[in-house]
Parts: sequence; structure tokens; C-alpha cells
Amino acid sequence: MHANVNPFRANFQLVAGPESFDVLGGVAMEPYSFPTVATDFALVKARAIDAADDTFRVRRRYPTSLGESVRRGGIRTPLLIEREGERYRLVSGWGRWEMSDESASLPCFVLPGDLPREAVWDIFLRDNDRWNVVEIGRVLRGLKDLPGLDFERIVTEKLPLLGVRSSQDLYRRHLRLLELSPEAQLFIEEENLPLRRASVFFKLPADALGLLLSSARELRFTFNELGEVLEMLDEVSHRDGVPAREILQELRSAPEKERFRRELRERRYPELSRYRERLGKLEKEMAFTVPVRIEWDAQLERPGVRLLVDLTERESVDTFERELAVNRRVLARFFEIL
Amino acid sequence: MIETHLAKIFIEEEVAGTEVASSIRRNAQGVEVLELPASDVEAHVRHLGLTQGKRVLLVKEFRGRFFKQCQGLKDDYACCNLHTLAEANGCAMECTYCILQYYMTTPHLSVFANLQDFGKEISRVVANQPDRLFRIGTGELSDSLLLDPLTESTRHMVPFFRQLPNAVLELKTKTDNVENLLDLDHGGRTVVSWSVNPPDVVSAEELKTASLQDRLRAASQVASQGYPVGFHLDPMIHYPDWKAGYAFLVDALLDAVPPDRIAWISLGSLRFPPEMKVTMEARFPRSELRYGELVRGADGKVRYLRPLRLEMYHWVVERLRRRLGAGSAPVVYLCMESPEVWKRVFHESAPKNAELEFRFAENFQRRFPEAGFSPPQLEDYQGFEVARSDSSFVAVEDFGL
Repeated sequence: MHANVNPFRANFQLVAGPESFDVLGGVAMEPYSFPTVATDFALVKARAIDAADDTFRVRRRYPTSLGESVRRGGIRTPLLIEREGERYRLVSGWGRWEMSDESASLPCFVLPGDLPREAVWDIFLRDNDRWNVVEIGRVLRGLKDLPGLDFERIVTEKLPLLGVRSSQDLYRRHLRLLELSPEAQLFIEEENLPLRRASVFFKLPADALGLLLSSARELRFTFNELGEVLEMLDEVSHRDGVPAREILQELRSAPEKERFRRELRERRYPELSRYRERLGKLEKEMAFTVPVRIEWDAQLERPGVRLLVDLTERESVDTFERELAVNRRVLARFFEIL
Repeated sequence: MIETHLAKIFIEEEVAGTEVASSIRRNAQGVEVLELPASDVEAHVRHLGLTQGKRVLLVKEFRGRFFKQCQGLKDDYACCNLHTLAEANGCAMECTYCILQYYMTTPHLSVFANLQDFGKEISRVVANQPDRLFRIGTGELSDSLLLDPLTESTRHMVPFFRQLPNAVLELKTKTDNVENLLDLDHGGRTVVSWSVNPPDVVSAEELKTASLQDRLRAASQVASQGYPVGFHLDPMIHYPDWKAGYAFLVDALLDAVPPDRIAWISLGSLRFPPEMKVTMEARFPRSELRYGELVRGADGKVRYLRPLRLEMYHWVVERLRRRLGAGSAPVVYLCMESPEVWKRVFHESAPKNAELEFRFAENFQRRFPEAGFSPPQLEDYQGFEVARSDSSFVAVEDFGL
């Protein structure tokens, strides 16, 4: 992501501006202008902006603090618009526009109408930051359709403007996010997942992903849990040749998260589950009146067992010794597995 | 012969006059060869992806230490104290489980041409512990023989080891590129070893490698030229028909090479850092290895469940026992396994690393007398430590180049 400071904005120079824009919050201010592009500054009615033209609308969610700020103090940072006939295309400032009343006059920089498309996109990119990965995908989709801008240039020149390393693979993966279902995209945006984590959603077909996300919301999965479930689902589905949706439908009868995960884990690791079941049965065969807990490595990697015994009084030592002798055979059977 | 499918070879000007560079120019067979200053080469290779990088070879000077302890040495695992020689980096073959796709930071292949430095370093280290028989393997970060038809490195290495009084060279490969070895005077001091798997594993998971049949044919060829041979059943793969697969494999390799020409056989199971799964999935979507029942071990890598590993090792060891009989047998050992697993497989406590190293030396000295090594003493091995680079310098002749 970009650093907090917008390098383009940081270079702005203060110039004299219209009187209508001279007081904000009781402090006299002067507007700034773009140093590299000659722009007009104007107050434009919100309703004059063509909301249907969403060429540059890549952000769908805004913090509630933005609405509060606009209500409290008005718009302090001018929007960036392009003249499109009698109306305007909004380039940058969708959040501020959305939070404003239709009748409000919005401070705007108006880009000249004859700017090459790529130049407008560059201004747009430099004027925004803190993209989430789906937004980056939307920007790349917009850039992809620009005449004269080839794949190589997007990767080498534009990705860095989005705070992404120049990489063909990263370019493709960001675009691929847009092929996910709207609910998956929403989840990624809401959780603000980095690309590496968001990529787990590529594993499942859309029908299964939708089902999983609804289960995840119902059962209140954390993202780590969801990631684990996704990976297991994908692997079981491929290994057993069963559609992921089918597996999920069977699992949806699980009334709570832990059971859902356990059942999936048993399906993913059948051998491990069988061994654990055998160990569990052995544990039940042991009979102690003295409190004894038996532990083993759940992954079966570390050998042996650990007995934790509460010997609270002198007599319990004798009892434990006696009962240990009785349970010796069962205990020995643990070592057939561990 | 396994082809490398190279598209371009860069030779750093600083090593353009070396024997290795000359061999490469001579054997390039139409592949474009460019000689550039070292500082300019980077710009040509840094943007390559892994798959593209495998088609580019960089011939350069190695400035680090050639000689190292094998990476397998970990506190929690029994280790045979193999040493390794960094003579090349990267591999053009495509094993789906290969650790290099995770471990290497550069995608292209590299060959190090300053063999004189390598010779000096090895000579110094082995001379410093004259009572120790060093086993020194190439092919840790590459395949020992893949590029040999091009570089002819073995034509220098094998005779060099022939004159070292206390070291065995191990060339480990998945190719059948043994032509350069056949007429060399090796003195029994070079072991040519093959990493092997059943044919169905080779075809599904060891892409662009020689078939098992071709590997064993090559093994038979070098054995008939007097080379001791090694086999590494590693990584063993747990797949539906694994019992039949590994039974076939054991029979096939013992049919191909007489047991008395086999120096050692190692067993190891599939293991890799869990993070590598993403790379495996992206590069080899049809591989089924990641669907195995893999759990994290003490070294952080994932492995098959211990009971599954034990079952596989037992199966192979029993088969080997039956075929090898009670006579003079090669060292059979486990690679990167815990002492507990060792104990369950061999019904004996896992030897300490020094003891295991001694076993190798004793077995090799006894079974391959043509190598002319002196009988090793266990006490000596118990006192050995990893050779240090700052140990006293012993002057020896250069590598003969």
C-alpha cells in the first residue's frame, strides 16, 4: 500500500483561490492547485456529477468517520472531476460525494477535457492510496482497457503507483479476485485481507465458496479457521473427486464450529483420525480410581505417552501402584501406535 | 541422456578462461553463449521466473565456502555426517517435491568455474583430519550429473578425489548422464548414486528426469566400470499402490547392480516446509503429494504420519534384508529421521552421528578394498568435530587445472 503521504499532494503549492472557498472552520485557507496539470477550480453542485459514470469508482466502502467529518466540517479536500458535456465525470472523491447532499456545492478541481486517458488515470492513482486488494483489481481492470497501455507497462509502471511490486503474477492474481463472487469480494474487503490470504478463495468453485461463506458467518469462523477449512475442503475435494459443495452440504448439519471443523479434519486425515480413535478407545479402557490423565502427541510424531497423576494422600500411592499393574496391558498397547 | 533445454548461457568474463568455461563453449551445441562482466549479468537474469530461469545457465566464480556440513544435520535427527560441495546451484529437472523451488533465491542455474579454489579448500580440510574418511557429496542444491555433458566437471573432480587419501566423492543424480565417468581413473573413491522411486512416482512427480529404467541402466554401467554405487529411496511417497511399487523398486535396483557394488542405501520419506505447499500447488497443480497425511515434525517440515512412515520403512527394509541376505551388506540408513523411528525400523538404538559416520567408513573400507583406505577407528570418529574453515592450512598441489 502507499505510505500515508500522497506524494502528489505533498508537492502542492498554495495559490490564491476564489473567495467562496476562503473560510473553513473559521480558519482562512487558500486552495491549492495541481502543479503539473492546469486545472480550474470550481464549486460544483453535487447533482451535476454523473453518478452513472463509474469509470473511476473502485472503492465501495468508506469509513463512517468520513460521513461524520463531512457532516461536521464540510468537504475540506476538493474533489477531482472531468467535464463531460454539460455534466461531470467524478475522478476522485466518490466517498466525499456520497456523503454530501444533492444540493451541496462541492469544491472541485476540474481537469481539462482534452487530457489523454492515461494521464487522467495517473492523476487518479496518485490522488488515492490505501487500496485494498479488490480495489487494486478494479483499478487494473480499468487500466487494462486503456488504449495504448500494454500489459508490460501496467506491470512495470502502474503497479508501483498502487503500492504493489512489479510482478506479472501479482497483476494476474489481483485481477483474478474480480472473478470471485460478490460475497467473496465483500468478505475480502471487509476483512481487508492481503493478497496472499485472499488467494485462498481461488481454491473453491463459486457455488461452494458461497455456501462456505454463509456457514462461516453463521458459525463465526475467524479468518484463520476459514483458511484452514478452505484448504482442507479443496484437498478433500480433489483427492476424493467429490465436489466441494457436496462435502459442504454434508458438513452443514454440524451445529457448531468445532464439530464442523472436526468432521472435516477427520475426512481430510482419515488415517490420523483412525489412530486417534484407537487411542481414545484405549484411554477409555483404562480404569483408575486415582485421578489420572493420559496425554499423547495429537500428531503422533512424538513417541510415548505421559501420565499425570494426582496423588493427594499417602494411600493413593498404593492405590495407583495397584491400578497401574492392572492397567499395564492397556498401557502397553498405546505403544503399538505411539 | 537427459537434456537441459537451456536457452542461454552467460559466462562471467572473470572465469571465461577456466576449463569449465571452455568445456561449456565446446559442448553448448547451438545454445547462445554470452560472455559478460559479472556486474552486467545480473540485469539479464534478475527478472526471470522459476520456470524461465531453469533455461538460463550462469557460469561464475564462487566466492563462499565450497565445503559444508550437510543441511540435514539437526539435533533431533540421526545424521550420517555427510559433507557437501557447492559446485552448482539450481536444477533444470522438475520434481514436484523439490525443496529448491522454495529454498533458492535465484531462479537460474549456476555453475561455479573456479575449481582450483574448490580443490584447495577440500584438500586443506581433509588433510586436517587424516584419520577420518570424509564422504563428500555434490548435488545438494543441484543434480551432480545433469550439466556434466556440458561442463565436464566430473573429468576434473573424479581424478582429484582419486588422489585424496581420505575422502570419497558422492555424485548424486536422477539422470543417466554417465558418459564422462566411464573412462576415468576413479580408484574406487567416487560413489555414483541415484535417487530412485517406483516408476509411477517417477512419471507423476519427477518430471523431466530419467526413467527408473534409464537410471538403473546407467547405474549398471558405472558399476561395471568398478564404481561403487549408492541408492537413495528418498523421498518415499505414500500412494495407494506403494507396497507393490517399492517392492518392485527394491528388486529392480538389486537386479541392476550386484549388492557387493552397492556402497549404501538410504531411506527417507517425503518432507517439505509447509509454506512450500503454495508453490507446489501453483507449479504442479496435478501433483497429488499435498493431499497426503502430512504433519509437522520437530524441524518444522511436514512429513507423513509416523505410523505411515514406519510402515513404509519396515516394508522396504524387510525386502532389502531378504534380498541382501546375511552376508556383507551395504549400509542401510534413514535420512532426517528421529532416533525413535530409527529404533523401530532397525530394532537398535539410533547410533550417534559419529558412530554412524564410522559405520560408513568401516563398511566402505572393508567392502571396497580397491579404494585403499586404512581401517578406521571408532575412537577417532567419536573425537571428530565439524572441520572449521580456520583450521590450520595444509599446503597441497592445486587442483591440477
